[in-house]
Amino acid sequence: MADATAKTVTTVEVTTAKRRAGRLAVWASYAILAVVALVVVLADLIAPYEPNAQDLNAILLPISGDHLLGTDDLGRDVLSRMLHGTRVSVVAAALAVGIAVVIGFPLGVLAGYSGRWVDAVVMRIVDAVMSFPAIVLAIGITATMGPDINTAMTAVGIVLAPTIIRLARAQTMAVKQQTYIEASRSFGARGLRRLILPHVVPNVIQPILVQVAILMGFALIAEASLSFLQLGVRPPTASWGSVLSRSYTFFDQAPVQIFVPGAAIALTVFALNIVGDEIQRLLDPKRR
Amino acid sequence: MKALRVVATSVASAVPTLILATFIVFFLQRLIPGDPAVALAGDYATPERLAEIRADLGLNEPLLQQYLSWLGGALTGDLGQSFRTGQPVADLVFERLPLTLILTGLALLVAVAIGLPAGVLAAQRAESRFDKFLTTAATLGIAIPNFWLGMMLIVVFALQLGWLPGPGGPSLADDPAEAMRGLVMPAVALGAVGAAEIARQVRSAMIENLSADYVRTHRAKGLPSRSIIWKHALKNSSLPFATILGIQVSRLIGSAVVVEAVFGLSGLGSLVVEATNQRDYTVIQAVVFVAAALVLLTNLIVDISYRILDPRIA
Repeated sequence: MADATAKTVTTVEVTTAKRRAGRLAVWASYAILAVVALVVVLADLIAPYEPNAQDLNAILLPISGDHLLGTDDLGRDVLSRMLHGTRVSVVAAALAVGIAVVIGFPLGVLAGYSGRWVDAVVMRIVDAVMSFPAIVLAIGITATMGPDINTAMTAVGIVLAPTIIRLARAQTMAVKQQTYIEASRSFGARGLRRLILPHVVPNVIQPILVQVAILMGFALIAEASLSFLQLGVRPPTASWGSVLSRSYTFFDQAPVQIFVPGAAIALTVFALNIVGDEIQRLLDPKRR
Repeated sequence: MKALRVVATSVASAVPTLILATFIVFFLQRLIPGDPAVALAGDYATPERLAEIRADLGLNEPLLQQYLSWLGGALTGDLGQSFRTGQPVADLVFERLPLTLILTGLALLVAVAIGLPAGVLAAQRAESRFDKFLTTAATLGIAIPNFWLGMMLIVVFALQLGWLPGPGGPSLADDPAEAMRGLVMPAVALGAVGAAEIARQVRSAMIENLSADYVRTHRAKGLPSRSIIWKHALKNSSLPFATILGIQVSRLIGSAVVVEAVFGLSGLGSLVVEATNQRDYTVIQAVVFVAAALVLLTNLIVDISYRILDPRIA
């Protein structure tokens, strides 16, 4: 009856255990993100071929010394397309998350700080946007406005904004109750420039950072999904999603080629989630 | 009577969201670049045809009136007509809806069947090797794009092993048994990510519950561990579980769109893809509307179950 003595696990114990267990995953994640960042910056230098250069005498080549990841159905070097695609995908995801923050952060702080009817109105809109499956609303907007990566990622940014609004609002409401805010107010600090910008905003930003890491992961998957549905980047531009989409059209002839872009997405999103958790841990004042 | 009041309260609190959501769907049509009539009829349409379309769409009327007449139609099941085929859009949508619902339902089943026990077992052995493995696997599971997982499943189970049918099988109406076999891989691809998310959430809810006082009391009076975990602690985790299920339904409906495209299934997903290629705006709008209606309905059910599960909320 080992079960009968199953011990009660406290939150503290779990945190310590996770701390030890998670180190390897955390370092691996930093490494993955560093590689991705390097590729974004250096894609032109390290890519062995032009990403869009076709060679119809070399279509669907298997993995070899000349083409480390083989070639696609137009004879383009898949490695070069993946490297250039990294830049396109990461920039696209950053655009979406940037838009989500630019819309969400001010609205969230505003709703949390003002309360009352402003809060009620903002939160109703948030509820309404959140009642759409994110990807479906993004598809609806992009399909209506015309397929294009910038439109698609703007749409993704809009559907992600409510997440930021909710978080910034909750954090602002918590900060508002703090003694130092009360003290600042008693000294006569009021309004945007004297109170909100110097005292409220810096204390709301931290949890947003964690969310940004996690949303980047979501945006990368969204880019891949929309590009797969032909709503994202237009040919011949390479992105992780478009390389995956293209390789799926000839997957019975070269199944290996669908593996690489998908694995790149999965590993990067995994690393972003782990690093997000890590930032949260580092920012937690209770961790010592 | 109490149940009726609970339902009425939930419905009433959902109304403002519903109205705003319909406004967003209506607003989609305003996003059509340029003149919607030209976009719908093509560049070579005669002025008479354009005028006819404008009248049809009610474009000459004030915005509020346009919205109200669209809303009136939508709520009575009239979602307009396809601009490509002239068919009622509602017919197109309801023809495709069952497949998406079956796929989403199966995926939810997969997600719960894997995620719930995994989360409970991880919580039960928190901080063990098993828990660490499961937690890391779940984090990886969340990171995998489910449509890519679907492709990998096709490569392995259809192409290499030949155990399951690949894309392009018969429809549900033609050969139900074979069609259901064809839904196994899409359901697993769709449900796997959900399973990972459910496992994580159930784990943290259960860990919290297992350290609660009532668990200690149950242990003290000698209740078997199995009954404490699977009966009492799990029951007390039902609120967070309902929340997760609600969120999952929304995610699954969204991801189903892409997974359907991978498996060539003719559900709502492929309908919206076809509509996009043909610029059939009314169909796009209708699919977005139906997807939101499904999520709102799910949220309503979750809200009602909250009020039933926890009398303090009602």
